[in-house]
Amino acid sequence: MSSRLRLTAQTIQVLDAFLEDPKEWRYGYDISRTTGLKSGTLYPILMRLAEYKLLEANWEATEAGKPPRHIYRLTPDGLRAAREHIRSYSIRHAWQAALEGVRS
Amino acid sequence: MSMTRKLASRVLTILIRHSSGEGQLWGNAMLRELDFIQGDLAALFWAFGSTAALCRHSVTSRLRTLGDQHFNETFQIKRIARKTTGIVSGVVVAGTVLALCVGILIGLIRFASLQQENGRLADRLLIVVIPETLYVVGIITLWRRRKSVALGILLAGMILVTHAIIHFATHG
Repeated sequence: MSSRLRLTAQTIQVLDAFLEDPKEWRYGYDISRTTGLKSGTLYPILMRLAEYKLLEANWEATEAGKPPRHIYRLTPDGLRAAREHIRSYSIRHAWQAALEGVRS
Repeated sequence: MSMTRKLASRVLTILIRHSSGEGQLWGNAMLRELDFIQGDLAALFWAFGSTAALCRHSVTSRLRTLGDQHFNETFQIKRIARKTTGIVSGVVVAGTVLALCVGILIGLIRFASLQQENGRLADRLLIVVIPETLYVVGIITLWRRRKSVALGILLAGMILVTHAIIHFATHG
């Protein structure tokens, strides 16, 4: 399933943010600040990750009387896929940089 | 709450109300984050971004549903076409067997100049018994592998049996 995931630079950024502390639940706004992504870019990525079962979402009860807040964390599958994707992306990126260096 | 923040919240709330089940869930998640965003303008931009994300999600899921529907219809049509072809093939096979038997009977009548009693026996054997036996063997053999062809043969066999019963009932 995860192999069908479209891997954009923004998705890599989001996965990277989750990998900072894989066990910790993260808020949407928190990820947005870490990655610098706007909600219009961030949430479609989160939705896609959740659809592929790479991300688990939960509602966190906050103060009494206030509605709960949505929190996110990578699933074990997501964690594995994120590490794998980031490794291959870094290798590809390094190769591209090296090729560009040779050309110039 | 400032006017800008209220506007941001209002825009998102309206869209959530018109979203599907999953869209509503994600919309509420985005809406809830609004309270934690520092700066009214940032909150407004967050709401606009969320609106775009929700619209995109809604369009994508609708297109996917339409795609699935189209796939199901195509699959159904192909299945019906395959089944019909199988049944028609079965009928054609049964017809060919019957035609061969009729050919043999005509050959026997012409060249072996059968007596009336023998002719009647040959007629019943070649037009009813042999074809029907071959049909039953064919149906049993093909039932598991080519069910639709077997159904075609069964259909032809039933027509032949019905025809024979009516014939014997009226002509003796």
